[in-house]
Amino acid sequence: MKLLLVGDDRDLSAAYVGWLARARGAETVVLAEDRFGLDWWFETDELSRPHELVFAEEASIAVEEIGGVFVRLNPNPAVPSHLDHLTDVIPIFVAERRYGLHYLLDHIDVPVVNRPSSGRSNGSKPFQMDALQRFGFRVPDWIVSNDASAVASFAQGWREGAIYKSPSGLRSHVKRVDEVLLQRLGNSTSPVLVQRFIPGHDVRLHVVGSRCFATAIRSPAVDYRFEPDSTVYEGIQAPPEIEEACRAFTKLDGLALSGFDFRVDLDGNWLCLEMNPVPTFLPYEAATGRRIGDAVLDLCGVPPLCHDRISPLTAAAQEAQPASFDGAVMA
Amino acid sequence: MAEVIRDQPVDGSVVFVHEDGDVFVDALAERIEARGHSTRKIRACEVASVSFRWEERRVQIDGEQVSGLVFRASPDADFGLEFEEADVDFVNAEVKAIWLGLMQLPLPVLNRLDAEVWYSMSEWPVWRRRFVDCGIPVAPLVVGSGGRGERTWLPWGGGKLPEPDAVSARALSCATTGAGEIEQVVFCEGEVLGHRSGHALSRAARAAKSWGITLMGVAVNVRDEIVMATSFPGLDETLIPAVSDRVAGRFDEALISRR
Repeated sequence: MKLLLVGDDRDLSAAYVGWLARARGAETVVLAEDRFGLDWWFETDELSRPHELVFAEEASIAVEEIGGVFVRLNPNPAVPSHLDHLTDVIPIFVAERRYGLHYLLDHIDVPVVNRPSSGRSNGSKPFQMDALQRFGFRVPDWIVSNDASAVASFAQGWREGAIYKSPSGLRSHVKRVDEVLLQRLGNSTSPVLVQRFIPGHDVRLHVVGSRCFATAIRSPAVDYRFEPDSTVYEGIQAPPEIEEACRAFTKLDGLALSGFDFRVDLDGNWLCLEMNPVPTFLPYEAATGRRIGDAVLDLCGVPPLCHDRISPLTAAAQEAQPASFDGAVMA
Repeated sequence: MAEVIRDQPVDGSVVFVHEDGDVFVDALAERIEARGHSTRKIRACEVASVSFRWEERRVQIDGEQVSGLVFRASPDADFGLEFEEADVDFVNAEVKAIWLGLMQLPLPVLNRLDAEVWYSMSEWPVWRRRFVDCGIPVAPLVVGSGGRGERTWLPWGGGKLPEPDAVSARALSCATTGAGEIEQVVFCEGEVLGHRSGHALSRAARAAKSWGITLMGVAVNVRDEIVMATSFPGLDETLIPAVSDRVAGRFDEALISRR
């Protein structure tokens, strides 16, 4: 069975999953988005379902030959160079091509990690936190505002203060509410999401199908992703009810792979910050030895080999001391 | 109209976010006001500039409570007219995220969109898949091939065009459907408005209502199969009075029930 790697052929997670699959003896096929419609495309059957991938060199792959698909799409996909001069139509071209790709990934009848239609709640933190709370997760108290007095009043209401971040899914550096923010709000800006600061530590919990991989992260920083040198990772076992809730939420959202971010307070309560539908797992796998990438391959129908004791990523990282994943984009 | 929370005061205004020249917005606002409720219209390009405060389930815009919501601008509109060009994409993403969240509040909302529709660059394939999941007939599609000039191209971004040649169809991953007349109908409050109202369309209209969609524009082929659908329909002038009356009545009921 073949594993398809679709989207951004320079994505680190996709490269790693492809390498692992080939190490298992599986055939991988890279389907780069910027060559979609030129070097490769797909055809639909009478029920409008994708049934065959076609390649310009007159090869084809039937859906029955595909074990699974791993997807990583670049927010700014490349455009064929011969279209560079068509500035006005490029956004339309890119959007139409992207949606055609979405159609393939949403309708192909094989496991897809992940389908683009799934997990869209991550684009809006207020939306997602509401969904998580209704599902039974505890979430920290929050407000959304660009009113400096409202933000100051909320932050002062908590002994440990408050942090702020972007309400959207854009990657933002989480910081404490401070005078700089209040001054910025006073000069008029778009609203920010302000959340009660929870003293304790972070946990990233990856769900891969029915399996959970939790990593505790201890860091003096408010946002550990930006302080790699002082951050310590440790593989842990999450409470069963948390694992079950994460599995169920992931499944309900149509996802095969997800990354939940928690703060665990000093009393051991787990408060959910967000669920990421396109999580990187490389730093967590490297630091803990948990074989998350292999779990992804299991989902994609790639037959397992005898597993080594630890992740090859961990072994490589240990060999190349000191471990550094500064280059990996952590989301 | 979706569920309404009972423990929240009705003070405040029904907020409209709109593009310039949307006649339906004017008609609906007029009818809601005629029923004794305040309204506040905000041009889409100015949404990012309002003073905003959302705490628990209460939202204030420029100090005034929001009692209902009619979002009639594209989610991909530019919301930050007053912001510097370099910041506009960021501001748009922030505003888009916040207003999706607002739509989930227990207030009367015209169309309570979910994250998949809101963040989809193309909403009609989303509705199409949902109609299929409900067993409602949809027009078959061919994707990525073409060139015989016999079919109708349905661009993912909306509208319809003649079938492109094979190379273009492949490069744009074009979706095409069988040629033939396509008629526009409107679903309002779970009912079909327009010229046609077959059994399948009635089921589709009820399904749309169950998804929180009060107003949907739908393109239908001669076999009553759904070709496309949008939650931001342009309305024929002849339909605007009836649709506005019906929607205003529902807002009125919801707002009064909370007093």
